[in-house]
Amino acid sequence: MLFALQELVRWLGLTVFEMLVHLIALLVFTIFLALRLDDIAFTSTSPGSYDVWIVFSPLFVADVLCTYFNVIVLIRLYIEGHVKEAIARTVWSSAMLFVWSLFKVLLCRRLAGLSNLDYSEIMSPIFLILQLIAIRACQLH
Amino acid sequence: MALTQRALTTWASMVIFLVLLTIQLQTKQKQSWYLIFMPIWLDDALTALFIICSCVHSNSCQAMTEMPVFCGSRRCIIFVICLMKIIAQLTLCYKLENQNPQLPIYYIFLPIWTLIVYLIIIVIPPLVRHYKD
Repeated sequence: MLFALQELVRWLGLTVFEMLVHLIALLVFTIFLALRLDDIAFTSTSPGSYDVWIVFSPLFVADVLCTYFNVIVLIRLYIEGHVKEAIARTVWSSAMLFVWSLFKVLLCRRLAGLSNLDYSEIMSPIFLILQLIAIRACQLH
Repeated sequence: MALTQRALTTWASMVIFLVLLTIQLQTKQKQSWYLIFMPIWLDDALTALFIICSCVHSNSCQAMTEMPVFCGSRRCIIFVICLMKIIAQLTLCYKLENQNPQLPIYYIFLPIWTLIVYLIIIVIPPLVRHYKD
Protein backbone atom coordinates (compact mmCIF):
# COMPACT_ATOMS: atom_id res chain seq x y z
CA MET A 1 0.00 0.00 0.00
CA LEU A 2 1.22 3.46 -0.77
CA PHE A 3 0.96 6.52 1.45
CA ALA A 4 0.94 10.29 1.17
CA LEU A 5 4.11 11.97 2.41
CA GLN A 6 2.42 13.42 5.49
CA GLU A 7 0.98 10.01 6.36
CA LEU A 8 4.46 8.50 6.25
CA VAL A 9 5.81 11.33 8.41
CA ARG A 10 3.11 10.58 11.00
CA TRP A 11 3.58 6.83 10.89
CA LEU A 12 7.35 6.45 10.79
CA GLY A 13 8.21 9.55 12.83
CA LEU A 14 10.71 10.64 10.17
CA THR A 15 10.87 14.19 8.85
CA VAL A 16 10.81 14.91 5.11
CA PHE A 17 14.45 15.99 5.31
CA GLU A 18 15.48 12.65 6.85
CA MET A 19 13.58 10.81 4.12
CA LEU A 20 15.44 12.83 1.47
CA VAL A 21 18.81 12.04 3.08
CA HIS A 22 17.97 8.32 3.23
CA LEU A 23 16.76 8.29 -0.39
CA ILE A 24 19.93 9.97 -1.68
CA ALA A 25 22.04 7.54 0.38
CA LEU A 26 20.06 4.62 -1.02
CA LEU A 27 20.65 5.85 -4.57
CA VAL A 28 24.42 6.11 -4.05
CA PHE A 29 24.45 2.73 -2.27
CA THR A 30 22.68 1.00 -5.19
CA ILE A 31 25.17 2.57 -7.63
CA PHE A 32 28.09 1.25 -5.53
CA LEU A 33 26.37 -2.15 -5.29
CA ALA A 34 25.92 -2.30 -9.07
CA LEU A 35 29.62 -1.48 -9.52
CA ARG A 36 30.54 -4.29 -7.10
CA LEU A 37 28.21 -6.84 -8.70
CA ASP A 38 29.52 -5.90 -12.17
CA ASP A 39 33.14 -6.40 -10.98
CA ILE A 40 34.04 -2.82 -11.89
CA ALA A 41 34.95 -1.55 -8.40
CA PHE A 42 34.92 -2.66 -4.71
CA THR A 43 35.28 -6.28 -5.83
CA SER A 44 37.50 -7.70 -3.08
CA THR A 45 35.98 -10.51 -0.98
CA SER A 46 38.94 -11.16 1.33
CA PRO A 47 38.14 -10.90 5.09
CA GLY A 48 40.42 -7.93 5.74
CA SER A 49 39.07 -5.89 2.84
CA TYR A 50 37.13 -2.66 3.35
CA ASP A 51 35.27 -2.90 0.03
CA VAL A 52 31.96 -4.07 1.54
CA TRP A 53 32.15 -1.23 4.08
CA ILE A 54 32.77 1.27 1.26
CA VAL A 55 29.68 -0.02 -0.59
CA PHE A 56 27.60 0.47 2.57
CA SER A 57 29.27 3.80 3.48
CA PRO A 58 26.51 6.05 1.97
CA LEU A 59 23.98 4.45 4.32
CA PHE A 60 26.26 5.01 7.33
CA VAL A 61 26.87 8.62 6.26
CA ALA A 62 23.07 9.13 6.05
CA ASP A 63 22.73 7.74 9.59
CA VAL A 64 25.39 10.15 10.87
CA LEU A 65 23.71 13.11 9.13
CA CYS A 66 20.32 12.13 10.58
CA THR A 67 21.84 11.80 14.06
CA TYR A 68 23.33 15.31 13.72
CA PHE A 69 19.95 16.64 12.49
CA ASN A 70 18.17 14.99 15.45
CA VAL A 71 20.60 16.53 17.94
CA ILE A 72 19.90 19.98 16.46
CA VAL A 73 16.13 19.39 16.64
CA LEU A 74 16.49 18.18 20.25
CA ILE A 75 18.40 21.32 21.28
CA ARG A 76 15.94 23.62 19.49
CA LEU A 77 12.88 21.93 20.99
CA TYR A 78 14.49 22.08 24.45
CA ILE A 79 15.27 25.80 24.09
CA GLU A 80 11.68 26.48 22.94
CA GLY A 81 10.40 24.68 26.05
CA HIS A 82 8.93 21.56 24.42
CA VAL A 83 10.86 19.21 26.72
CA LYS A 84 8.41 16.28 26.62
CA GLU A 85 8.14 16.36 22.83
CA ALA A 86 11.92 16.67 22.50
CA ILE A 87 12.54 13.61 24.67
CA ALA A 88 9.88 11.48 22.91
CA ARG A 89 11.19 12.41 19.47
CA THR A 90 14.82 11.82 20.38
CA VAL A 91 14.10 8.42 21.98
CA TRP A 92 12.19 7.24 18.89
CA SER A 93 14.72 8.57 16.35
CA SER A 94 17.69 7.22 18.32
CA ALA A 95 16.08 3.78 18.61
CA MET A 96 15.36 3.68 14.87
CA LEU A 97 18.87 4.83 13.91
CA PHE A 98 20.61 2.50 16.38
CA VAL A 99 18.70 -0.63 15.36
CA TRP A 100 18.98 0.14 11.63
CA SER A 101 22.73 0.79 11.96
CA LEU A 102 23.18 -2.40 13.98
CA PHE A 103 21.56 -4.41 11.19
CA LYS A 104 23.88 -2.84 8.61
CA VAL A 105 26.98 -3.46 10.71
CA LEU A 106 26.03 -7.13 11.24
CA LEU A 107 25.32 -7.53 7.52
CA CYS A 108 28.61 -5.86 6.54
CA ARG A 109 30.57 -8.09 8.93
CA ARG A 110 28.89 -11.18 7.46
CA LEU A 111 29.48 -10.10 3.85
CA ALA A 112 33.09 -9.17 4.63
CA GLY A 113 33.66 -12.64 6.12
CA LEU A 114 34.36 -11.32 9.63
CA SER A 115 31.55 -13.26 11.32
CA ASN A 116 29.52 -16.43 10.81
CA LEU A 117 26.22 -15.16 12.14
CA ASP A 118 23.04 -16.70 10.70
CA TYR A 119 20.81 -14.48 8.59
CA SER A 120 18.05 -14.84 11.21
CA GLU A 121 20.41 -13.28 13.77
CA ILE A 122 21.39 -10.52 11.34
CA MET A 123 17.72 -9.77 10.59
CA SER A 124 16.70 -9.71 14.26
CA PRO A 125 17.19 -5.90 14.63
CA ILE A 126 14.85 -5.39 11.65
CA PHE A 127 12.17 -7.54 13.30
CA LEU A 128 12.62 -5.54 16.49
CA ILE A 129 12.09 -2.27 14.65
CA LEU A 130 9.06 -3.72 12.88
CA GLN A 131 7.47 -4.36 16.29
CA LEU A 132 8.04 -0.71 17.21
CA ILE A 133 6.58 0.42 13.89
CA ALA A 134 3.51 -1.79 14.45
CA ILE A 135 2.92 -0.16 17.84
CA ARG A 136 3.19 3.25 16.18
CA ALA A 137 0.73 2.17 13.47
CA CYS A 138 -1.80 1.24 16.15
CA GLN A 139 -1.45 4.71 17.70
CA LEU A 140 -2.44 6.44 14.43
CA HIS A 141 -5.90 8.02 14.22
CA MET B 1 -9.32 2.10 4.41
CA ALA B 2 -8.14 4.23 7.29
CA LEU B 3 -4.48 5.08 7.75
CA THR B 4 -4.08 2.57 10.61
CA GLN B 5 -5.51 -0.26 8.53
CA ARG B 6 -3.31 0.60 5.55
CA ALA B 7 -0.24 0.90 7.77
CA LEU B 8 -0.94 -2.48 9.39
CA THR B 9 -1.56 -4.12 5.99
CA THR B 10 1.79 -2.85 4.73
CA TRP B 11 3.44 -3.85 7.99
CA ALA B 12 2.04 -7.41 7.77
CA SER B 13 3.19 -7.83 4.17
CA MET B 14 6.68 -6.58 5.11
CA VAL B 15 6.92 -8.95 8.09
CA ILE B 16 5.84 -11.97 6.02
CA PHE B 17 8.24 -10.99 3.22
CA LEU B 18 11.18 -10.62 5.65
CA VAL B 19 10.39 -13.95 7.32
CA LEU B 20 10.30 -15.68 3.91
CA LEU B 21 13.51 -13.89 2.88
CA THR B 22 15.28 -14.99 6.07
CA ILE B 23 14.17 -18.60 5.53
CA GLN B 24 15.33 -18.42 1.91
CA LEU B 25 18.76 -17.10 2.89
CA GLN B 26 19.10 -19.52 5.80
CA THR B 27 18.16 -22.80 4.10
CA LYS B 28 20.07 -24.64 1.41
CA GLN B 29 16.97 -25.74 -0.49
CA LYS B 30 15.97 -22.60 -2.40
CA GLN B 31 12.40 -21.67 -3.27
CA SER B 32 11.35 -19.53 -6.21
CA TRP B 33 12.13 -15.83 -5.66
CA TYR B 34 8.77 -14.91 -7.20
CA LEU B 35 7.19 -16.86 -4.31
CA ILE B 36 9.33 -15.05 -1.73
CA PHE B 37 8.10 -11.71 -3.11
CA MET B 38 4.47 -12.91 -2.92
CA PRO B 39 3.44 -10.68 0.06
CA ILE B 40 4.74 -7.63 -1.80
CA TRP B 41 2.91 -8.68 -4.99
CA LEU B 42 -0.30 -8.95 -2.95
CA ASP B 43 0.28 -5.51 -1.44
CA ASP B 44 0.86 -4.08 -4.93
CA ALA B 45 -2.28 -5.81 -6.19
CA LEU B 46 -4.26 -4.19 -3.38
CA THR B 47 -2.80 -0.77 -4.28
CA ALA B 48 -3.67 -1.33 -7.96
CA LEU B 49 -7.20 -2.30 -6.92
CA PHE B 50 -7.58 0.95 -4.97
CA ILE B 51 -6.28 2.98 -7.91
CA ILE B 52 -8.78 1.32 -10.26
CA CYS B 53 -11.61 1.77 -7.73
CA SER B 54 -10.76 5.45 -7.27
CA CYS B 55 -10.75 5.94 -11.07
CA VAL B 56 -14.04 4.14 -11.58
CA HIS B 57 -15.99 5.20 -8.50
CA SER B 58 -16.01 9.00 -8.54
CA ASN B 59 -14.16 12.08 -9.64
CA SER B 60 -14.94 14.00 -6.48
CA CYS B 61 -13.23 11.46 -4.23
CA GLN B 62 -16.08 11.49 -1.74
CA ALA B 63 -15.63 7.78 -1.15
CA MET B 64 -11.88 8.18 -0.71
CA THR B 65 -11.74 10.84 1.99
CA GLU B 66 -9.70 8.53 4.22
CA MET B 67 -7.15 7.99 1.47
CA PRO B 68 -6.05 11.34 0.06
CA VAL B 69 -3.23 9.56 -1.72
CA PHE B 70 -5.68 8.00 -4.18
CA CYS B 71 -7.37 11.30 -5.14
CA GLY B 72 -7.02 13.64 -8.10
CA SER B 73 -3.56 14.20 -9.57
CA ARG B 74 -1.98 12.11 -6.81
CA ARG B 75 -3.57 9.05 -8.40
CA CYS B 76 -1.25 9.49 -11.36
CA ILE B 77 1.84 9.76 -9.12
CA ILE B 78 0.79 6.67 -7.17
CA PHE B 79 0.14 4.79 -10.40
CA VAL B 80 3.63 5.61 -11.73
CA ILE B 81 5.29 4.65 -8.42
CA CYS B 82 3.33 1.39 -8.25
CA LEU B 83 4.23 0.54 -11.86
CA MET B 84 7.94 1.30 -11.38
CA LYS B 85 7.98 -0.71 -8.14
CA ILE B 86 6.47 -3.74 -9.90
CA ILE B 87 8.97 -3.46 -12.80
CA ALA B 88 11.88 -3.15 -10.32
CA GLN B 89 10.70 -6.23 -8.41
CA LEU B 90 10.18 -8.23 -11.60
CA THR B 91 13.69 -7.49 -12.88
CA LEU B 92 15.16 -8.26 -9.46
CA CYS B 93 13.30 -11.58 -9.27
CA TYR B 94 14.40 -12.42 -12.82
CA LYS B 95 18.04 -11.76 -11.91
CA LEU B 96 17.82 -13.79 -8.69
CA GLU B 97 16.11 -16.71 -10.44
CA ASN B 98 18.59 -16.84 -13.34
CA GLN B 99 22.08 -16.58 -11.90
CA ASN B 100 23.74 -16.17 -15.32
CA PRO B 101 21.34 -14.12 -17.40
CA GLN B 102 22.46 -12.21 -20.46
CA LEU B 103 20.93 -9.10 -18.90
CA PRO B 104 23.65 -6.63 -17.74
CA ILE B 105 23.48 -5.64 -14.08
CA TYR B 106 22.67 -1.99 -14.79
CA TYR B 107 19.46 -3.10 -16.53
CA ILE B 108 18.44 -4.71 -13.23
CA PHE B 109 19.18 -1.53 -11.30
CA LEU B 110 17.71 0.90 -13.84
CA PRO B 111 14.06 0.60 -12.62
CA ILE B 112 15.27 0.87 -9.00
CA TRP B 113 17.27 4.03 -9.77
CA THR B 114 14.34 5.52 -11.68
CA LEU B 115 12.06 4.81 -8.74
CA ILE B 116 14.46 6.36 -6.20
CA VAL B 117 15.05 9.46 -8.37
CA TYR B 118 11.29 9.84 -8.84
CA LEU B 119 10.77 9.60 -5.06
CA ILE B 120 13.51 12.21 -4.49
CA ILE B 121 11.75 14.53 -6.98
CA ILE B 122 8.49 14.05 -5.05
CA VAL B 123 10.10 14.69 -1.66
CA ILE B 124 12.00 17.91 -2.57
CA PRO B 125 9.07 20.37 -3.26
CA PRO B 126 7.38 19.95 0.18
CA LEU B 127 10.78 20.42 1.80
CA VAL B 128 11.44 23.63 -0.16
CA ARG B 129 7.92 24.92 0.64
CA HIS B 130 8.45 24.14 4.34
CA TYR B 131 11.71 26.08 4.51
CA LYS B 132 10.27 29.03 2.54
CA ASP B 133 7.44 29.31 5.10
